[in-house]
Amino acid sequence: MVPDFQPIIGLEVHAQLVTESKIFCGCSTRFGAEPNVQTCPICLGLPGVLPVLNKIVVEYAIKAGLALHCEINSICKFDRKNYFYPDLPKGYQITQYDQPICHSGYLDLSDDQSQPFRVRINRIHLEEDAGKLVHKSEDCGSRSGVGLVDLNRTGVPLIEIVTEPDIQSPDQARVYLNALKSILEYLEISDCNMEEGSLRVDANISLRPVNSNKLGNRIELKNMNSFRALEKALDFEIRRQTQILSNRGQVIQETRMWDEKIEETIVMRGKEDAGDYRYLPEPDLPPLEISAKWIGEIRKTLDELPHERRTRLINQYDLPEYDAQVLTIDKRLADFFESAVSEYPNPKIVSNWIMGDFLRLVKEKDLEYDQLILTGRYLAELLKMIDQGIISGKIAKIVFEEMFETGMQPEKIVEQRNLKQINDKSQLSVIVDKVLANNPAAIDDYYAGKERARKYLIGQVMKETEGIANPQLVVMILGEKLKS
Amino acid sequence: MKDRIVKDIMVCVLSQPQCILGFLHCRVMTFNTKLIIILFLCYNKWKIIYRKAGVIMINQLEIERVAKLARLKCTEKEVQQYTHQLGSILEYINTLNQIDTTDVEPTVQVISLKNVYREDKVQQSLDKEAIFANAPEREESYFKTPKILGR
Repeated sequence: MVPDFQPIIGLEVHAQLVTESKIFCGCSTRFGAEPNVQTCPICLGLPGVLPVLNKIVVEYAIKAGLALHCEINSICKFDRKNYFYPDLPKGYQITQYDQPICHSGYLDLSDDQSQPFRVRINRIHLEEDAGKLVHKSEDCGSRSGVGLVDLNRTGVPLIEIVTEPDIQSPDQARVYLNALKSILEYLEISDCNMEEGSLRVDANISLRPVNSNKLGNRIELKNMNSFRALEKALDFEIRRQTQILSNRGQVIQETRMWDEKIEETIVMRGKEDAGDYRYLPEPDLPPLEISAKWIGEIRKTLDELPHERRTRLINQYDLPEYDAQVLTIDKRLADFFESAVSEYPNPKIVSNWIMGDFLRLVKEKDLEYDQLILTGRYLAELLKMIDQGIISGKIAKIVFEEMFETGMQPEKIVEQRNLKQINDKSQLSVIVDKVLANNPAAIDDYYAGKERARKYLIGQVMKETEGIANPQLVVMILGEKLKS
Repeated sequence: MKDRIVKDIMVCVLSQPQCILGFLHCRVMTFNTKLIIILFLCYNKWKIIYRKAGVIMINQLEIERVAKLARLKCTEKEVQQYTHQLGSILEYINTLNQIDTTDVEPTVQVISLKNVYREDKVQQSLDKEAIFANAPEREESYFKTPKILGR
């Protein structure tokens, strides 16, 4: 009988901090600039330069630490991590080795089955990003290709958040990452945009036979470009390692990379090639002494965190827990909700619209929340127009979709597309007469007792008016006419 | 004179690895650059070996490994030569063992500065042509390097 195996997973998340300038120099951190134009002697690693620490970066790291229940080290320093790669002009990366800025935190979460679990945070440290290397194959695509280096990203500030190996399934990994992402976004210290590389995840995974304390050899996983890819890579590794262990084999300790095309992990480097980074204290940067007073001041500025906002939404707006959970996944979503509710004080209706059509469109169009142009105020205006009978609920959905795409005011859309509900009884009367005259067979059916015929006639009236007739009014007029 | 050397080395080791480099560079003029780089890269390893055994020693394997990390190609003769030469340098440093450092906090910095910050303000980057002034090869706005896979 093959024993069952328990995955043991730890995650390392690199998050880019949202600053104007780089961590050790005044070059801009703007994304998407022409290659290498946002560089200077410091980030190019020219000799004789002196890096100077960007203060706000320290503040952001402390914020992240406080939100993740970490202890903040009163004294910390920077170190040099040495390795050779074309994206690293200095030949070393400035990072923190034995004295990270934050350590020993945790995050309490609950998985998809609502089972609570805790992920302990080992450490959070500050470091600089490396450049970007574009591989370009020339000619026959043989080994003769070249590397093109863009150093704009060199020196962009990062925090690395390292967990203890507390995660037991790919699902839990996803839950942790979503929670972490939403915290960093709430704190407004990172964009967490995986496509632009402002959030990157590496994973460590090993399998342990159930009911045993013996840990298997650890695999380091790299190159997962989305949360989905991370889940798939972990799933693949669990299957691969289970197969090896079930056949009484041994997992070889190595670094593997996720290949999105073949949906498999492949060997990147073995244990013997593992990094020997020869850390040294960074002599160009003086140590940091972080006072309790400063930490206290930062603590005061901490914005409301996702779980706190969730509780508040439930209490303040009387929302079901599920709604509050969905709405607080992203700060911008919760902001949108609250701005709509402030103008249209019926929270449950607003929430239904967001959780229904709004999120459906976000998903269908594969949008990020920062790409949304619709404002909460316009949703409120739309809902008021339904209440006032200016448009029907059905038409409102059409208007909503257009306003979601164009960001236009609902009133303008209704006017331009002539979607205003027909509430004029005499006008509708004429249309009903016309429909009745065209459908004698349906009238006969109706008198023969077929209820379906009445619905058919209502449908015809709606069709005639392109859906903008007031449905209640149509039912009433039709009823009156059929009676007489 | 010997006391003086020990004192110098002590200050260096307790302050900055670069100092060792500078110090040795002055004193051991006959050694070439390759050796100095190897010496520099050994620094962290030494600390560990030193703490464990109380004596720093180096063998050929260690030289070869460090040379590989530094992407230096050494002939067998060079490896032997460096092992010997480094060994004699390390003899100096072993003298440190005689000093009791039980109550001495490790010194990372010799200057007493701390908390040196700049505000988060964007400053002018280099002029585009200046950026590439020292680049052996470029392609449009990129630095060009030989293709490298993995890390």
